[in-house]
Amino acid sequence: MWTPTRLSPLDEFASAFIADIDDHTQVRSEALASAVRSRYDLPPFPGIDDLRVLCGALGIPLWNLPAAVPETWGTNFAYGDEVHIGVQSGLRLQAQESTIVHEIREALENAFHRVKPAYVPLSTHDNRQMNGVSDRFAGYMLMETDASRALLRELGFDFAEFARRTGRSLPAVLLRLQQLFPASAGSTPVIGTWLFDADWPRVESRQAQLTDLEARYAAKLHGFTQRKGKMTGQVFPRIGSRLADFSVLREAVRRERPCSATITGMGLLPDTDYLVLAEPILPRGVPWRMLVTAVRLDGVPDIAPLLARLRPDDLGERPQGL
Amino acid sequence: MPENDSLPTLLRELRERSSLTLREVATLTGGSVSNAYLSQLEQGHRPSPNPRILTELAKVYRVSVERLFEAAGYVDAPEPSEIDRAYEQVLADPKFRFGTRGPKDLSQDAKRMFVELYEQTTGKKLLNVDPDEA
Repeated sequence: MWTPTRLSPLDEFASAFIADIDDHTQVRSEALASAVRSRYDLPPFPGIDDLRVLCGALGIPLWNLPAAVPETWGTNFAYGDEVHIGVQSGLRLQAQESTIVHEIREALENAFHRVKPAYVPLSTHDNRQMNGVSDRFAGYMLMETDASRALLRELGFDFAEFARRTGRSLPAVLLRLQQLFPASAGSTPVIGTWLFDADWPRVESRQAQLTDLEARYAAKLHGFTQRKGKMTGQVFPRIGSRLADFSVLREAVRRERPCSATITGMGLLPDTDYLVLAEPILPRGVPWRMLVTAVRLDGVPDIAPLLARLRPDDLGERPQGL
Repeated sequence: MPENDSLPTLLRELRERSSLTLREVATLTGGSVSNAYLSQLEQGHRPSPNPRILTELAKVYRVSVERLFEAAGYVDAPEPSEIDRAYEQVLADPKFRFGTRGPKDLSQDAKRMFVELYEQTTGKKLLNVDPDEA
């Protein structure tokens, strides 16, 4: 006799999504995020409350992990097909949000295999591979593509303002940017952007100094390149660069104000020169972060709202040097 | 994570993990602990400090007070072997699976957390402690 089995909401969603997919390499992060968003009516930039509702709709209880285990940001665990997610209660809100989405992605991968045993899953125990997939998924879930592009254009590619308006962290925004404005779009503005930061405990204890700031995140929009042989590769920072090595950036920290400079001699034509904007973020005057945005001059009209907000001190022209 | 949870080792490793200097910790405790005293504690040249100082340090390092109290010998920790044994039982249950966003090598605290999550989701008792007190 046939006995009907009732799937959990998570397994039901997984079953519908995976119906025509046999292998994890066929799962596209953006398509999966889009399916979750439309099925559960999520806003373009979901916050913690939206994500709690989502977990409820998926039938996933959310747990607070004890502060005694601060190194464990999140976990997903299951007893049979009953899936749970735990999030470290001591995390900042933005980190809690990305951790919940990260764990949902892992729970989905397990669910795909559970509802369709023939499906070849990613090993969720292979952190190196799974974390990259989960982070990409989190980027798509937390910053919907079309809405992000539209808002960034409206804000004049003001990444800090975008982060504020959407409740996302600046590192998360920079990680997402490159997917939003790839070289293939063939558009302007051509931008390279870098986020320097210092370790938070040193900022919190007011010990951080300019020499602590290091470029930790970067994004290249619309084909910005630092390929070998390009002047941009010699002049602009790279991951690991020290802020103290760049005079314009040092000056912005000294003035405790946004500064701009035009980097000339970058190519044969003046249009290939760059306007650089340095925005220091100094809680209680302590150097924590600096967002640096280099815009090729033909794209300057696209960033008018950013210039209007920053009103940077103009440090003039700098031939081939930042 | 600390391999040896004796108080001097634990204090030193927690400070290094937080990228803080002795002076910075002293500042963050609001002067309750001097950098010289902390240095002596980390080297094992002083007996275990009073609970108030451990409470201040626990706040700075964002760890549970109980963890420092256990390392200082003020409270009895479950024998590590008891946690390890319970954790092995969790791993051996084919119906229970978990993945973490954190280091692969779990600390005793993390193992205990998973044992407790297991106990609460399955209703089975593996540790001889009240989870509310853990």
